[in-house]
Amino acid sequence: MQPIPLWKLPFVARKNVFRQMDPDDVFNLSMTSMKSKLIIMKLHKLPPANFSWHIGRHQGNFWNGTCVVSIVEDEMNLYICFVDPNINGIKVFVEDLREGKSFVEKYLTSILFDPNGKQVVPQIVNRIYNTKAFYQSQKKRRDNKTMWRLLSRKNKAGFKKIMEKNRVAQTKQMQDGLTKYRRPSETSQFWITAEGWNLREGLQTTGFVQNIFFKLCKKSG
Amino acid sequence: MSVENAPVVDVDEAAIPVEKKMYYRFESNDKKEFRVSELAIQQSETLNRLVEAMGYTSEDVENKPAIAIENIDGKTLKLVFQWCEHHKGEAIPVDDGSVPKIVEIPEFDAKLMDIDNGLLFKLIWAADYLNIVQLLNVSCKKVANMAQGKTPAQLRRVYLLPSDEEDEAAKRAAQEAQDPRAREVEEEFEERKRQGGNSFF
Repeated sequence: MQPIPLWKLPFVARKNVFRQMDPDDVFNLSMTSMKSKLIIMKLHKLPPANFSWHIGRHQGNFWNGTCVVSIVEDEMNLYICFVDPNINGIKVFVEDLREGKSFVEKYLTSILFDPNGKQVVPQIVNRIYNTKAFYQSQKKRRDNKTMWRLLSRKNKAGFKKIMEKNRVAQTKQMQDGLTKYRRPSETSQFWITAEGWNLREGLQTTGFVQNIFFKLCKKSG
Repeated sequence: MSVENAPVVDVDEAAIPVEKKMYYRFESNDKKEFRVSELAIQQSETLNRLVEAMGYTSEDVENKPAIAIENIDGKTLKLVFQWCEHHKGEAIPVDDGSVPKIVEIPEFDAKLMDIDNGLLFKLIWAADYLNIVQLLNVSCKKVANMAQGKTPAQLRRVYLLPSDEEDEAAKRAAQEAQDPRAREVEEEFEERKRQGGNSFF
């Protein structure tokens, strides 16, 4: 096949190509060179995804990274929230690692909610994130975070107010859009994929010690 | 007066003035001429504005020389006008800024774009130059589809993407071309270093 020089296409066309590509392909394209990555970061900014989880009595939410939860109970609640209003299909895949079988058919539960209806939640807007990152959720450095002790009393009060607002909104979201899932076994793996989008999360248990190793790995970034 | 009692009038169909279709003549940079209907031209914002600004009548079109499009060759322009004629009268899509942008390639467009990548590249440039939104969308979709399921190494070959090393070399070459003394200074510096000199100056 004759190659087509992508970088020599006009700017509008190039942007158009990136926008029409599958996110997985965009990810692969960004891996070809540093220049590609920088260009794609500029042209194909993917919206951040926020994944909230609730496993037994442990709960939390974060943007990107790895988290270990030591105690797991049988019931698991999963919740995903996207900034992008265009996403409306989110599926939860459950896989048993021990059996090597997929429980997609048996245990597949779709998180049946329309993220379009969740726009009122201010949780994402108020977060500090690196705007230069491929994923907006990726922080450049840990110390970009404002240190709590350096804030003035007034700012602290403001933050507390926002956090409280978020907490209330999140609770409501959890009640509305939460999917409750009962683990089929201790060594189950949970895959959460947003249809045609940039998120692929793996959630797996390590069996004997009943630890859940929760890894949020962005397939496309 | 009822319908039955109405007088019957014979109508001479030839006498009815038929609204003539307006055509424009365009010429590519290799002097190939094309006749394109007014409705088809509306797909291209650039040509539409050009034609409106010229204000040609149907006599002008015949008497005056064809409108020259100097950036596009005959082969590409033929494809562009074929596309425009097929899609004439269709609404021009408005970009809503969504990512990923979902575009379907119609059957006719798929057949039309069953061409080698060199010509596809020219077609994209032409669509961009003539500002034909939908043609640009479908042609870009074809380019985007080329990446499906490819590894980074394969993508480098498909899209002619230079690796980091090649980029670095090109950058260095460009710097040297800009400042030819830079290499000489660097060589001199290396030589002095080899001779054991601590300082360059």
